[in-house]
Amino acid sequence: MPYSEAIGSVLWLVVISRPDAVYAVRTLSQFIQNPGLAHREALKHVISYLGITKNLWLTFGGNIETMVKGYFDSDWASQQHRNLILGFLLHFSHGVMSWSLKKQNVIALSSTETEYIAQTHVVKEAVGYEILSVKCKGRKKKGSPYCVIMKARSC
Amino acid sequence: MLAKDNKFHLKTKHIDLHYHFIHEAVEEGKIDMKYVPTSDNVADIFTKPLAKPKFIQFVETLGLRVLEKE
Repeated sequence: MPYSEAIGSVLWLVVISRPDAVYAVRTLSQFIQNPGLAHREALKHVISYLGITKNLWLTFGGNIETMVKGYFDSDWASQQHRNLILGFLLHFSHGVMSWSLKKQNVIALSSTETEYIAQTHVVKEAVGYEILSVKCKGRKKKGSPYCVIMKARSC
Repeated sequence: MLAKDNKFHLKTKHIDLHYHFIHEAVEEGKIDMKYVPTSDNVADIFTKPLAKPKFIQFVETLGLRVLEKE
């Protein structure tokens, strides 16, 4: 199995409709240059997971919620390269509508700083959805918030 | 902390001005901030390996549901 082609095809899936496998695929895609046996085995696991769970569909709806909810998390220096990894998603009406996982080319000095960087990314994404929330009457009156950012720490 | 007040804090001196963008969005009333317990932070699915029960819980929260083909 050619490693890079296989990564390419699962990467497409996780970008389009399978946010649950983003973490695994992102980790494996760091080894495209020189994959080892363990990476190939792990990739096979990911592919079989995606195959088994192919009935999972990305859905919206149920009770309509009009507020956009943003979640984010950051990973500070947990890996050898010590770069900051941040993930965020925007949640709207019981479904996820936008997600992203990024390895940033910065080395933060504290976990508080990583939280701020991650928070900035989710806010940047959220301001783009202002029009959507206006159309869905998510905003009660002008000047009131249409998006809630959920933060795991009080920073 | 910094999102809601812009006082000078000794320990956050080095945090770049760029990141005060959040503060601006909160002040304009576009964005609100709320606390969520770590156990309910769905974004954890993107940054760390999770145990099965939590993974399944988050997959449901993401809106990924089983739909059988008709």
